[in-house]
Amino acid sequence: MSTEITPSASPAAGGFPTSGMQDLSPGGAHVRAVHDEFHGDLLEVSMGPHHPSTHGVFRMVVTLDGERIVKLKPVFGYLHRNHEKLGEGTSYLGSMPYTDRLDYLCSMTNNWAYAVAVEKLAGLTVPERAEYVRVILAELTRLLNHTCLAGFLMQDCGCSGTPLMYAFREREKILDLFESLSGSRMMCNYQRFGGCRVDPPADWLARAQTLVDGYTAFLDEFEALLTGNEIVMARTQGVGCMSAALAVSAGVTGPALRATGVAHDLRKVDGYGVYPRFNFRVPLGAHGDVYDRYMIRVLEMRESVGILQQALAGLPGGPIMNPAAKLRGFRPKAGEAYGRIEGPKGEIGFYLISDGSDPLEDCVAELSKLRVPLGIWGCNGNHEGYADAEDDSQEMFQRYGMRLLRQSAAPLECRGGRFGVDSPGRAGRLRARAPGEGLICWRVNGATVSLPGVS
Amino acid sequence: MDQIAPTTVPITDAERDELRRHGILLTGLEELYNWGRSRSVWPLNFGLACCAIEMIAASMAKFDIARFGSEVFRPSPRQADLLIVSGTVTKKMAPQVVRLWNQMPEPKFCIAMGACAISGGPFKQGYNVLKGIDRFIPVDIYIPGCPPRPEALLHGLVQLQEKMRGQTISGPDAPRHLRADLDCDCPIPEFGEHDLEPPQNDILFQPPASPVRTPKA
Amino acid sequence: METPEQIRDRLLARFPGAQVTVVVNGSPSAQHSLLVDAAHGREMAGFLRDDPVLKLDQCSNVTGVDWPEKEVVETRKTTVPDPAGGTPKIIEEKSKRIEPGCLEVVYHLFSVALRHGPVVLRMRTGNRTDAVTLPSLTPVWRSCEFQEREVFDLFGVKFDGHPDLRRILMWDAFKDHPMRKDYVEPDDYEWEPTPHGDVLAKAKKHFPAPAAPAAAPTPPTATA
Repeated sequence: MSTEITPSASPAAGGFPTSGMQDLSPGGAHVRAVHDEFHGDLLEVSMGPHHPSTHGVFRMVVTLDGERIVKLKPVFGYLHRNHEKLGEGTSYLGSMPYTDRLDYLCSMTNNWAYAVAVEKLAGLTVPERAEYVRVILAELTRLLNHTCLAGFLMQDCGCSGTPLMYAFREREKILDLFESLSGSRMMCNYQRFGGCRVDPPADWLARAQTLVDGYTAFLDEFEALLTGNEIVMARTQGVGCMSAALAVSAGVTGPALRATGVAHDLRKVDGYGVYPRFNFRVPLGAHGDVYDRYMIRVLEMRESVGILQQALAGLPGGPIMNPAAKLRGFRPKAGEAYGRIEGPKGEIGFYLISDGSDPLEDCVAELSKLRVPLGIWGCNGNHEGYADAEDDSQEMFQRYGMRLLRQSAAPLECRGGRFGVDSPGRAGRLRARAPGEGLICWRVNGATVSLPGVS
Repeated sequence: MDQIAPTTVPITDAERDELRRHGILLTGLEELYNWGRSRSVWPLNFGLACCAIEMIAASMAKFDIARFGSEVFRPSPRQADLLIVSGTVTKKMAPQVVRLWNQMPEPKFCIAMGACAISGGPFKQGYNVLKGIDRFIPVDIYIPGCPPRPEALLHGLVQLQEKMRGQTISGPDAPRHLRADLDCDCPIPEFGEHDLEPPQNDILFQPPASPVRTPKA
Repeated sequence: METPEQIRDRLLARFPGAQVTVVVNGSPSAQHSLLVDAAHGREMAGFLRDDPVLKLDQCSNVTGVDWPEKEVVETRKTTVPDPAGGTPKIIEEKSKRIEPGCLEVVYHLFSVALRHGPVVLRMRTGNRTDAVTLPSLTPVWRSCEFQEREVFDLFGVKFDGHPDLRRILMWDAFKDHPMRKDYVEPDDYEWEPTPHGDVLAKAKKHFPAPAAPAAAPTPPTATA
């Protein structure tokens, strides 16, 4: 026996919406009482995709026995922004800004995971200084993320913004650092394949040091308000327990997995980057409930402060970018790679398949099929100069039997006439010519063709 | 009801200040009404994606949206004045956004915060991404950025307040909630086989007539 | 951890009649994968999970790949000796064939207990049109449940034995499989100030051709 309870429709009154009152969500019933022979009378509530909790758009059809959730059916897809399809249509580096937006609180670690996957695919190494900087930024992101999540947890428990305000106060300090380094508070787009985009200057490092030195005091204050708090403990202990076997089988990673007692932290398991050099512990929970997940994050923040102290103290000199990593004309061989790191929320991995193609080379290959008696000539544009790809494009032309002129000229003879093909220098100026050489010349897509004897 | 044409108040600012010093405020009904409305805009607790985090940051201590009157973010659309569409609106989410908009009582306003809400943003070529929420609901203020800084949101809010203060309370230019002849309900799109049906609200969404922008004379 | 060849040999010994091949990965990552046949896929997955040497208890990632059909041009050179005793002729024969496409599902398996991985498992469908069924590995690893639903939603691979196979990201009435290479987006264009390339082609289709410029051109006024 089940009764349908639907909210009564208000009488229409000049513009007051009445359409769609009976069906507020695509699934149909939104609140209804259900009788289950095992559980008695239950309430099925459709929560979302807009709901008061601060966890984004997500729809849950929950079946409640009082305050206990007996069954939950999730509905996804409300923020499916098809990063994969967009990635198919753009270059490798062009996908980097999209990775910022995957887990939008932690853009630095998303960037790093994608950079790791591409570096595995292309076989690129990263200089030591860049690895240290990546660790520093990842641990700052971890601090930011865990602080915010503790704030959001309290917000959803009903604290109405006070712990969140303290959390965001600290987040703002970290975002100031990110903004001065990468130009953006949240969507940093900072990691590159083979290193980082910009070398942090000395005063940035000094500010980071100040922030890290003061973070422990904030953590003490935060914990004093929350960890031993009677209401927090009553609301979160014993709630949402997850067993270790279920967590592993369901592919749960990160603090939620460690809260069930499974010692699985990719910083230790994979030992990527320079993490093996740092001395830090991995906190583990015992019950797998909400309180354990909260405590794991607090303890991880303290460990992150330790890692940051070590990284800032041991930051070596050197390049911030692998000089062999070319940004332009980046063409990994055909193959695939799966790269992963431990993001603040858990494992974040990217799986890339390359077919080894390069659109520029495809174009050059097509051009080389032209049948022209005097050969095919080309010259570099200013983009090749900026990207230090001039040698690459010359080598590619040579492979296809074409000539690329670099600040040089080539005399040509055709049917008794002589003329020359010139390429401009990087500044676009023509080289000096001997008297009697061609005076009229015009640019053909960057190369100039000069005709002798015409004034 | 007879329309009383507004007359110019034959009183100088100095005299007005003098009266105020004695505790007497002299103003017009429209000004008072708009001042009250614009200084107490309560947004809906509605965040979709990354811009929502900057919206929350705008409500936190460093930027503090409360000093502009948006003290509380209401969780229920029945109690909210402002819908800040912050984040990418996907086609799956679009009917729900329109439903929320319909559930908000008049006077209501909409701010499209961020590139995704304005036009689809960086995900514009997506098969699940709606190319701007103004395809289905009327937008008052557009705030560009990806994400816009909290200061940009505050600037947009101030612009909205200026817009509200400029509204008349009678006549043909009165806002929607003061006109009995307007139907404020926006039709809710349905899930079709390949796209939303209809893909846009043709009354609200009217792009310019030419594919390329002609230069001004 | 064992090499993919060793795992293949053990799988073939345990499941005679199964087909397991090692797909060599051309990139420096050297993450070679095991291509298994659909008929024995689930049994082999269970073996990989429970085997004490491998103990691959975590399926971290399930991805779909669309391999469209390819036209392959093969050149065959045959040397024909000259009956008169001169230089032999070399005849080039070019033959074209269509390599059929398929849909592929890739599983990245790790071991949390033994801290090794990844072992990459692949399964391919018969073609891209009607033979698109593969066994579901959800009974083996719970994490495959949502991810296989995603592959079904975006690629159209049907998983046999999945407890709840329905769309997860797109709405239920959606008909297409968007991540396929031949997916055509709905014709949905809006005004852009500087259209170019295929965007300009779409613009011209949606907007009537601009009228001949009048004596005093006026800029278009935005409506609504």
